[in-house]
Amino acid sequence: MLEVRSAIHIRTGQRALVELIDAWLLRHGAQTLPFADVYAACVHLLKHYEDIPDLVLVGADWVAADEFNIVSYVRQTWSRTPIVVYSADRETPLFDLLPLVLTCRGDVAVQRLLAASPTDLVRRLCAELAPVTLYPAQPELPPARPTPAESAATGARPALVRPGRAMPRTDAPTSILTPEELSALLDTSEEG
Amino acid sequence: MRANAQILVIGSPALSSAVSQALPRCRSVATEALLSGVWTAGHAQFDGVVLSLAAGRGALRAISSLRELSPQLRIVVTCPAAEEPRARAALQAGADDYVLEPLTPADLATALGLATTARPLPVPSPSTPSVQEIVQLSEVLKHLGEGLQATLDRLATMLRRVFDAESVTIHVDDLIASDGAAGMPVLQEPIHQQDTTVGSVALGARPHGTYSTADASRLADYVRLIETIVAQAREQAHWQELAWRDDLSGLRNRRYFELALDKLLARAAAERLRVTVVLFDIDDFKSYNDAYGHDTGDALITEVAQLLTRCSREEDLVARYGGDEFAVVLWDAEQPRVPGSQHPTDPLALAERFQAVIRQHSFKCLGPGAPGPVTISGGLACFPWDGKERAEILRAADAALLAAKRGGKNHIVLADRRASEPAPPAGDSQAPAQPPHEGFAREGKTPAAPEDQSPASP
Repeated sequence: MLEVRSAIHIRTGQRALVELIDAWLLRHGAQTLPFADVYAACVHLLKHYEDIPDLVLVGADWVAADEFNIVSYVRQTWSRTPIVVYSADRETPLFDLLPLVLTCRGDVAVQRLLAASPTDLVRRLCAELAPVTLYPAQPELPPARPTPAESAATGARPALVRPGRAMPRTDAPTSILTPEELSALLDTSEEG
Repeated sequence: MRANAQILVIGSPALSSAVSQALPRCRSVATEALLSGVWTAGHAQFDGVVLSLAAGRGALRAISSLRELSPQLRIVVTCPAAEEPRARAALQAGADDYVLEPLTPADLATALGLATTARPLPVPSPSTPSVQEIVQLSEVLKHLGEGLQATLDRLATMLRRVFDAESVTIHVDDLIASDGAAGMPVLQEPIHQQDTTVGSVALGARPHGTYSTADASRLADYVRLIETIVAQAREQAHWQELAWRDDLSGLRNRRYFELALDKLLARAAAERLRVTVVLFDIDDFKSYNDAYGHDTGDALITEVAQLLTRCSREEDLVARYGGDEFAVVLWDAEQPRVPGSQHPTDPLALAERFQAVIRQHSFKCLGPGAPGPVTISGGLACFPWDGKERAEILRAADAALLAAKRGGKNHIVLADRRASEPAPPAGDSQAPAQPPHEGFAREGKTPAAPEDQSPASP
């Protein structure tokens, strides 16, 4: 059931690693939807939220504000899809506060990660990185500051792009790890 | 778009505050990050987006993403005037309009297509140049030879009329041309040469109305034309420089010298300046050519040219007049002649300096076995005492030089008005030359005070 048939690859990381990930996905026959930047990925999330992938891979730099946001949006859209954020830089901030997200930092760690097949990786992530928090029943809108004019606004308007948000799956697994245990697992995966 | 539209503001808190103040009837939602703006736009229905180009490097990508999400969404970008070309790139990416900062309610409302009250619309500029513009452009091209600065001055004047701007400033490398009172640029377009930005054209505000996107597009067309004109002016300057420069000595050549002297005499007449022309000639130059060869002769000319240049002042003009003849024009812009003044003596001291430096110089091209010091002779003539026109003055200086040669060389002789007269009949040419006295000789001239004869005299 956890077989990886389709994957999304947001190719914003270091080029060598991006190509490594591409080759890995190709080798294992995963149908990959690549995005050159976070904006294209964001549009895809908004327009094709019903096409749930089995795995999302995101390349990140050490300053990864946009990447952090897109991971957050992916998680809001597809609550149970495992996400792997990879970076050549060991100083890249951790993305692991979100459930089912693995941050893999450094070339060696990435190569070790790719030793397994995508299917095995997803199985392992689902087993080891079960969500530490339950998702809210109604996801909130992305962060936006109401302006003085908006504070006087009345009523919400219907969505422009889609009528409603992608509802999270209700069969989300319960938390089996504490944050400390999760960190310990991540530290193990980054060795090397 | 209705007046109480819902607007998404993507940019700094200052921008969202400015939008709220400018459009108090609109409801606005603000976010600082571009990606967050795209995400937000996908979750609610907005009538318009105001996006600051300063919000991040991915502004153009964010705009194209917004456009992809909603083809009907009105997208307006804001930026400082200096980044106006980037705003036009935003139009290519999918934005509908742009507003230059600082924002005004009217500009913002117009760009968003909001219903507003009684705002005069700018008169659209014609898409094709008028006859008057073509005539002005022809004038610019006609005077291309006057140099790049003059060309830019003319272009600035022309553009100010074309765009009805309060001011126009054109900046190319270290040259600046402006027309009108300098003010904050409102419309700006970079000037490129071979893929490098070398300057810009900046238009100030209009006395009435604002610029439209058609104006911006038109300015871009004009700047492409200006780029061609600048390249042409530079090429012309290059060829002109070659035409006015003597290859061997590196000095200005006779063609340039005569043009420059004409201009200087006209100015001297108008401003009552005194101008001195000294013609120098290397004594016995032929003997150096015969003894050492023409290469050494050429080297001798080059060294003499360098010495003359080194001895002259910045404002003096040193030129190679012909074979082994050099011409030096001495003038002083800060000391106009005064009534009752006499023939100047300062140029004599300068000429003496030239002579002494060359006499004392050890010429490398001749080596240690040089037969003796290289000497020069000179003839000196002054405006307005020795002539008012170039031909008169040169004739006087040449006659003085001839007298110096006949008088034993290594002398500088002041012109005599009588010597500058046309050559006497052949029978009189045997008249003995006036004997020079030490250093300088003057051919019996009584200095006059021709203030009342000056061309500049009222």
